Amino acid sequence: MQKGISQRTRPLRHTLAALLVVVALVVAYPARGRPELTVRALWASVPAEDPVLDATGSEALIPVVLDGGFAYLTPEGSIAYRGRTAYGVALCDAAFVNHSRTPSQLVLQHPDGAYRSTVPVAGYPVFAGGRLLVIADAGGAVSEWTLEGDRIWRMELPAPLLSLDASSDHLVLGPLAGGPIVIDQSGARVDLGSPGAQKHPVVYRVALGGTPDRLAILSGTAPAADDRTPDTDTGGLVLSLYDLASGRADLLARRAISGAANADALVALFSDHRLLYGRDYPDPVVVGLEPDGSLEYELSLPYPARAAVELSGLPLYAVLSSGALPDPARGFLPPASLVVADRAGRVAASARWAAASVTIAHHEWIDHAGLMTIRLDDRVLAVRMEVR
Amino acid sequence: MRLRARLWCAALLTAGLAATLHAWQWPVSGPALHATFGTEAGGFVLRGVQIEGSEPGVYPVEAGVVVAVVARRDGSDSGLPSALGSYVVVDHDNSFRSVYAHLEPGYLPAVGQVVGPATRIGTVGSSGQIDRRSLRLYVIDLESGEYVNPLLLLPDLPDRSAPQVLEVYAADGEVLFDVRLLHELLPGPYEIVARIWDRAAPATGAVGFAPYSVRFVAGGQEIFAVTKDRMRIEPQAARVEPGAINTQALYNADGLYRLGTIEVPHGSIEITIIARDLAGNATTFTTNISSRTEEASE
Repeated sequence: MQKGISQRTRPLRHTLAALLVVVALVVAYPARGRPELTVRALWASVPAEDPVLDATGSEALIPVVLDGGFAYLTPEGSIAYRGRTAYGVALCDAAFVNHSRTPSQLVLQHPDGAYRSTVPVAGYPVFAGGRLLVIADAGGAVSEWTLEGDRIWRMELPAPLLSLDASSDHLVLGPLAGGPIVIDQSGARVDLGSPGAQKHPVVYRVALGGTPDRLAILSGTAPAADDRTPDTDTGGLVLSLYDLASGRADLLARRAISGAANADALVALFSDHRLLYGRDYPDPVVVGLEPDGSLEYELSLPYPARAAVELSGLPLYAVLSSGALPDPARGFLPPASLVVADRAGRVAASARWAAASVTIAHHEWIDHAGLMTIRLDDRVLAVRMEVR
Repeated sequence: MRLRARLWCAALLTAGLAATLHAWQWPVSGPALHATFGTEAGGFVLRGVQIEGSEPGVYPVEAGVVVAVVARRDGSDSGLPSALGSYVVVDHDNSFRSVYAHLEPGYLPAVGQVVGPATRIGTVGSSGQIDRRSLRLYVIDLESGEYVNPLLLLPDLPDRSAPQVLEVYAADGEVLFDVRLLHELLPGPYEIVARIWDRAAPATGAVGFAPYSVRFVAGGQEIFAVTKDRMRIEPQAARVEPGAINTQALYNADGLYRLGTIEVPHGSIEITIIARDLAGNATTFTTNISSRTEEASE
């Protein structure tokens, strides 16, 4: 009888033992599932209406440009300061400058509105790479100033500027004629060599990025629209990629690209030296290039690309696209879309809105997550993105 | 024989260029000048012409392709601020690039659009860094990399009024001596500065603008001569000291022509300023500056 019982319990013991082995294996070698992107809404604000809180001492303020005004928000979404402007504003996290209709001088103010300094130049200010630049003389000159109002340098331009970018090491200017101008930290001009087959290119877009600096230039002249088909529309525009690490500009790659460019064409260089550019013909796409300039992927977008930011810690890119025509189904506002994709062009998340004006106001990497602040007309939204 | 062939070739080239230039049209109907090429425009030299028209429509000076469009309400919208406001850039077959600035932002063509003389490309506006509703037209010669005076390329406007030499000073440092009133100066070097205006017709407003050419002769010797047909801008390398670049060698801070430095000798010296407009109207201002002694001045 006992023998019978023993014979019946043996398979159970074997099963339990096998289960224990499986559990041990699972514990020792946990299954690695596909990472998931979580997107969590943090806060929303309407800076023109919400109350201004006393945020004295708040260190990390987020500057946001609005229609007819601007605001500084705390990372928690409180309004630390807001101002009105009739002709626009240039602002960074350390100061802001109101534009004027016919400027005679510029007044810099602290983010709390306190007077900071006067810049004795008649022009339009812009902050780029943390530097204050002023475009003056009806677009014929550009100068750099300290935030205390002292001029560092000034130069005349061969033609009005279409594009500009700056880092702490370089400044690159894209005028309408005469080719791009690159200035290094010492004030010396960096020679870019031959512009290739292009005879009189328009410099539509310039972008600096990465460490050390790399430079991307979108130039050329768009082919006449009447002659343009997807088959013939190649070579009118050229994207050139330079390495500026050696103190000179070494051409890494030059690609003929299709599509019509303009001053709002998207070209973005990221910290890992990958590059994104937008193309809106025949269909809107964003094209990712490897650091050596070779093609990585194409990502279809619902509308032409306007801006792209890097969520470096994830690592993901967020691409903002928007249409120009008002959509009757969306209250006659133009449609807009935000797509978050990985480096292979796979879309991890996307959102759509309708707004006359959409910008990525701010983005940063905090505590293993990306914080992005998006401005939709008079609203400001903040989302936290994390890969788990 | 060879020389004759060359002369024929030159004549043909000139005729061809003239035919090309005559094909240009004013970008606005009923044009009236508000500022000419080279006018001192509040701290900088205008590299084009400022025009007002009887109608608000803006048309290209000749057929071409739109190569860039910037839409800015007042230089302040998102994106790079635009001192030219909203503007359209057209490339033409003859290596000229024309820029139509300070347009209304609402009605603009698309990049790549082929435009003819009858294609409306914008509306006269006041966007960007400008003090009144008008069009600024810039023409860039892409081959030479220079701004070209658009008045050389556009059809002539009737003009019978000669430029005026309004003020002439001999500057000794910060001190200005009006040489129209004061004909005796202590011997020594003086910079001659002058306000010289043109009043082309038809023109708008009370603004005087730069004559086409200015020549300054002292003691029978040419000291200064400028003809405003082209302007080359070499982008200088940035310099790390303030005030390093004097961009306005042509004008002083008060908008007066800097005609050069003369040495007032013991005795007298005759100075002559000749200002001419594009239609050939000319004004000549001549005066004698005599030296005086320190004792006489006391």
